[in-house]
Amino acid sequence: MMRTGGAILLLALAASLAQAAPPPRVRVSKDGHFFVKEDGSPFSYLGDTSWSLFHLTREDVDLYLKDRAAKKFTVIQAIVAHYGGLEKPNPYGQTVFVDNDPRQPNEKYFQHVDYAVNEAESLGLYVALVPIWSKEYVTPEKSVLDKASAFSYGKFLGTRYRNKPVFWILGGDWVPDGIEDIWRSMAAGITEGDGGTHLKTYHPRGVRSSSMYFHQDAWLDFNMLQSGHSLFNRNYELIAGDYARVPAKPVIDGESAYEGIANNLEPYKPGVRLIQAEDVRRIAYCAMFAGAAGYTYGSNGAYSYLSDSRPRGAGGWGPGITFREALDRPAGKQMQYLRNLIESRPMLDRVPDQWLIVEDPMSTTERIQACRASDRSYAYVYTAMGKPVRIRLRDTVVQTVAGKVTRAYWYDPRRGTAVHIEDFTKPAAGDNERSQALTTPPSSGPGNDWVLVVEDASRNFPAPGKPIQ
Amino acid sequence: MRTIAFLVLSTCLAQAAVLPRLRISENGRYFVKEGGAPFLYLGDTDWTLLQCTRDDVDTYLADRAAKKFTVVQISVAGFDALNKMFIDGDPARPNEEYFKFLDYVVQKAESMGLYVSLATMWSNGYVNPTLNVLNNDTAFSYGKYLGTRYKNTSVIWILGGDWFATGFEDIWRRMAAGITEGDGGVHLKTYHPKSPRSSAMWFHAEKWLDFNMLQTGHTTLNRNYDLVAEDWARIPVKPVVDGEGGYEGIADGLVPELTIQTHDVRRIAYSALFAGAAGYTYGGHGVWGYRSPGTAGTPLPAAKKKAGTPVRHGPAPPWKQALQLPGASQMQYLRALIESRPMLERIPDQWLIANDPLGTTERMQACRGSDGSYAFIYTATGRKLKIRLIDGPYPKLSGKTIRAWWYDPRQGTSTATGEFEKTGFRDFTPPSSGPGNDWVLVLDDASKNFPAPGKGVVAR
Repeated sequence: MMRTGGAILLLALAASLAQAAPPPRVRVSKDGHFFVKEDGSPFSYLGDTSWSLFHLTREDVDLYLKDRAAKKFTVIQAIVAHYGGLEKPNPYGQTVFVDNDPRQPNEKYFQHVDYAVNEAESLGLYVALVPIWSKEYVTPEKSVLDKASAFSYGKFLGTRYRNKPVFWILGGDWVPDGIEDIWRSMAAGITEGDGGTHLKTYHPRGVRSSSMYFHQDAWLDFNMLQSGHSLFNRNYELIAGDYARVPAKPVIDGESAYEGIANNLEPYKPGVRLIQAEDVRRIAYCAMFAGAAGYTYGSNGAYSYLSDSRPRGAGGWGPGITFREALDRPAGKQMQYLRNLIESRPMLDRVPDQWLIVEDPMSTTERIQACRASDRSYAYVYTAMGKPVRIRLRDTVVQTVAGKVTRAYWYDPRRGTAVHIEDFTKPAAGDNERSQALTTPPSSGPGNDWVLVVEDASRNFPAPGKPIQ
Repeated sequence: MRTIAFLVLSTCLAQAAVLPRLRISENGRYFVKEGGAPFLYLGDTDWTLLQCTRDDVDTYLADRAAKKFTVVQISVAGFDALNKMFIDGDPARPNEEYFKFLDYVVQKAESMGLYVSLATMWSNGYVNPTLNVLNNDTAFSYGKYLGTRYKNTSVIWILGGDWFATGFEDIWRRMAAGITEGDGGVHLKTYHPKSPRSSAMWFHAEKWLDFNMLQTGHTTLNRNYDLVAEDWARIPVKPVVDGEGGYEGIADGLVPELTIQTHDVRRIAYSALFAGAAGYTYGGHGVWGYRSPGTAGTPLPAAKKKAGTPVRHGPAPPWKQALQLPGASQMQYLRALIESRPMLERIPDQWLIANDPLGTTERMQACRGSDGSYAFIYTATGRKLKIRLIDGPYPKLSGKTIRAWWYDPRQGTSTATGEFEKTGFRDFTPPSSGPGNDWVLVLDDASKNFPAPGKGVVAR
């Protein structure tokens, strides 16, 4: 009796301790392309954009973070010195610096930042912190930071959030030409403060990667893209460029086309093409299948606002919509199905491989994007408009999918469900004609995107999107 | 004394006949001749040239030189050549008579200004899991024999041949070492792989591999631009040549009802070079596998290997007719275009294209001078181009005024379409559109006063 009771008590204690434990530290995987937690298990960087998080009221912070945690996002991207934030106070009347002097962080402002970071932590969410928005405050023409204040501000942040689940995003929608050393100083300051425990990157101007400026810098732990608020987004090309770089570093598509925003950021008027859920899904799946370690979603109306402007058609790039509505856009709910799919197979083995696809993989709105396991145990092929997919099962003498029997599914990115197509025996080596399988998705046309999942049947993986046991 | 003087004289003569040595450009991307002048690798393919008569060799080389090719790719070990090139088929004992004919071919090519890329031992036929005639020792000794014999000629070495190196890497390494022992490393080396692949898959970081070679696929669905982009990104930087794209007139390997048309060949060639390749190798169906005079078309190795196997590559025109396939004459316009702007400055830049660059048959492919002095944008079907001239804070092109031209890859002619002030984006509509209506938009910094596209040579 005593023993059993003790065991129960111990279990209860362990559970409460586990709850109290902060999300584990994140580091780069051995092969350099992905993220893992301290215990070596994979970490999915599935971001949501809330640049204005620290300008929300406590109530909205709670509402927002709970919503994002429920939708299975893992990272929230937020700006500390927000655009306009040097002058415009948060809902509690506080601005980020005393007298706009970056050497004097305003303790009261940072107490609200602490609040949001702590709330995120309690929900198991990481916060990717942008120390200061480059586009507004640190440009080659004009900068509120010099090397010394960049270092001291970095050290202040690093020290304050050393034991919190954070990432660091330097830059912010701009180019660092000529001011690279300011960012290097900030990186050094952060490291001085947090002991280098949290990963760092740089957020660039559109259709660019951090790798253009800092790939060889040791402080840059992973690359971040801004791939373009456009239907013609071609993040797969930017990712292929970064994937090939030496040394290998993970790459994240940290900002692409936000759901509900005007295509190409055209000034909004009725009739302007808005980015739809299907566009967002396509860009997200392309990112991951092209070799990215993560993807960051954004919803127009939720990604940005200063606290007094409701309803919010942020930046004039879309029709007015309430914050609550913006949190419930369809793709925002569907991103978790991408995460589920990736996590349902050995995800650290994933390599991009467009040569699985026999036909024209097309580009942008009709894109077909493929990846597979390096041991060829599984492959995913995304087809944005449900075009038939012909894949190479055997390429001359090389197997593209391992095993004698291949299992095939269609995975639905809109619902997160999978339909088993069939198990079939692969043709013999040398039979080139029959070594290609042509597969037609259940539906086609705009918005009818599908993922073909093919795998070695002997591995007995769970259905796509269901957790690995 | 007389003997010595004679020896010196003969050495000089031999050297005078040799074309300038080729090496890699300073930026690692391209080929240059001794002295630094840029060299465009524009190849033609006749893997079976050694099975032709002297007369046919002469005809072939004269035709290819006249069409402005710079390299011919031939195979030393042609189909069923083992017992001819080696005594008793033993790779340790090369047959002097066989190589005398190769000497003739190489010297004749040189006299016409053509370099010869020699595929040393076709791996699809002779170094693969089904049949391997080499071991590490014979690979070295045969390599050394070739290197020594062709040290003072104008050759480029192609190891492999339409096959995977997997499991045979050491044989090729030993052959490379043997060649270097023989020729002192004066001639460039690469490896010819199975399609769609690059030599980089096996040997990229190895010192002996001077440049990468692709085989990109005999199909209208050819995507060499993806393979070229992958190799462009590799470290260390090495030039990459699309050494085998889609041969003109050959059956499509992936779409059974189609044949590779002249416009497919142009598209594949322009895509290769604009994606960053240092060269492209053309092939005409009826030429690449021609073996003896009087044979109409190409006796197919696949058909020979397996009796009853249907002809995979499709019917070919007779050899002399095949030499005149239109694509062969049009490749020189690509060369002329590339040479009419600073070609060593060329970098791929798909972000010049702001609309969808599409893929395969409708591809748009863009490159520019790294200094912004010029840009080339190819559109395979004459689709409208939306060009990004200024990218945020970065101008894609230098200068305030841009001069635009349409270059016609079918004729090698250009039309000036005027000058305009550089702004963020600009639309360009080609003179015609549809399949076969391919065009190159040429944009120049007007202040550079470059010659008309395809006219004149800019020496950089």
